[in-house]
Amino acid sequence: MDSELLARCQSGDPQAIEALVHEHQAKIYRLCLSMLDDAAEAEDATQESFIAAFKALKSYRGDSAFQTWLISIALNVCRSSLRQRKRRTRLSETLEDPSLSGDNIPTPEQHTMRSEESRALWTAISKLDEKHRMPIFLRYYHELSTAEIASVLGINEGTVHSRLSIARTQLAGALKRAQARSRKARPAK
Amino acid sequence: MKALNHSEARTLIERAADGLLTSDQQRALESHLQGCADCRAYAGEFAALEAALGDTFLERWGKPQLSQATENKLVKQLQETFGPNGGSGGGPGAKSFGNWARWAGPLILLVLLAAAAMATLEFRAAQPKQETVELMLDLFESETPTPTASRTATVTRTVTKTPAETPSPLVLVAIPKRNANCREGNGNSFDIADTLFEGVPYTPIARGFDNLWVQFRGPVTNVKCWAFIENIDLLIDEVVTPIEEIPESLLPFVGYPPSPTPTFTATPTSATQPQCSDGIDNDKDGAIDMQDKDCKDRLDNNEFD
Repeated sequence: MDSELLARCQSGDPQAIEALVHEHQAKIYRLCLSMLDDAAEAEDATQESFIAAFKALKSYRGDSAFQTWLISIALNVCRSSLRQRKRRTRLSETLEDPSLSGDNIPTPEQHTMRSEESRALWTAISKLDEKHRMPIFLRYYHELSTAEIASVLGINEGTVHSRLSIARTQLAGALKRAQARSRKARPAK
Repeated sequence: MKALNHSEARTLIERAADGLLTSDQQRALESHLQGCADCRAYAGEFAALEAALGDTFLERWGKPQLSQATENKLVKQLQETFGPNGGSGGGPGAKSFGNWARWAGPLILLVLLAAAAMATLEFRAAQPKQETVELMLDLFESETPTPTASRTATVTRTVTKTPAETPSPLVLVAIPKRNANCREGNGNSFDIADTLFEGVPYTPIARGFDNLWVQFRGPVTNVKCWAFIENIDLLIDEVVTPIEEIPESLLPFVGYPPSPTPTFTATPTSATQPQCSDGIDNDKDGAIDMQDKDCKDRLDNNEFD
């Protein structure tokens, strides 16, 4: 991120604001979509994240990459949205946490899983707790490095690795079971 | 160079994927893989899992972005709020554009009231400027909106004191020693509500009875949250002060929230011992119990963070 662009944003330059939003909106929207699994909520959370970031822009000291800083803000915004959603869910006496269940109202972004393996993996991912699911999202959807994930989540790289490792062990098991089912179901030649 | 066994090689395959191998480890792994078909197969399975994960996410979400119209709307909102003619972020949040309109009226009213209060202050008592600012902060940071009359009464009562009777107010701030999670309660079992960034000053609201957790208003989410005392420095008038020495008038004691209901089944470890004293490397980072820097003390039941 160009520090001059950030400085111009801090001073309220409209062109710089537009350029910064354009550069980062897709990444932030995808992050929000991956956390909330709802296109409309993800749009709201993206807007909220940018506004929160601009409000806090003076406190950004350049210790981490701007994108990492912005992602950590978006994560908090999305967590807040999830909490509100949970409260709404409690009110409607639905006990199951709907986040990532895949049973939300379908949106254009929600694609049907093509294969048994993908469906099994998706189910296994949705069953991970947030501590282990988040590094998997950040690594395999958002393609962040271990160091970037550590910075975003405020933990050390060793912890990121151990969380990834625990999650991958569970996911590998789910994938293997799905592959075995596929082989069994395939008609013999 | 020591030869690797299969278990070590498989650990290094994962560490390699996460970009954590030293050059010595890289060489040792390559050497092992050359002579071990089983571990080469494991590496192949691991690569297939990584590819399948990437594919699953892409199938699920693709690579979407905001529509052009939504992006334009967001840019316009930011330019209006933070641009040269904007209010530079005085608003409370941005759930939607409607929210800004909803806040605008009360905000203007509050500013006018505050301005009137300031004028009253200057006219009646010629109070020191710093105290006026403190009063203004009290008005804005009041947790529960109070009726206008009550706010005015607070200001009036305070300004009847003479300057000689009012010592300079002590200023308490908290500065995180590192990026610190701010959680919904006093423990790692509570959800993370916000993040306090290293080196940035924040105003603490309260503390728990045991002086171990300090309550803040989340800078981004604006919800109340708790940070562990070991992650922050507390400063009174810029002097680092142990929490035990901070007067209750500056940092009152409040009760902790009730423990959260678990939403998933925890990995079974020791049924009786906390993770930081059970002799197990629960998070598999190579450090056990208090050797693990994620352990705060032997009673900490979370070796992960």
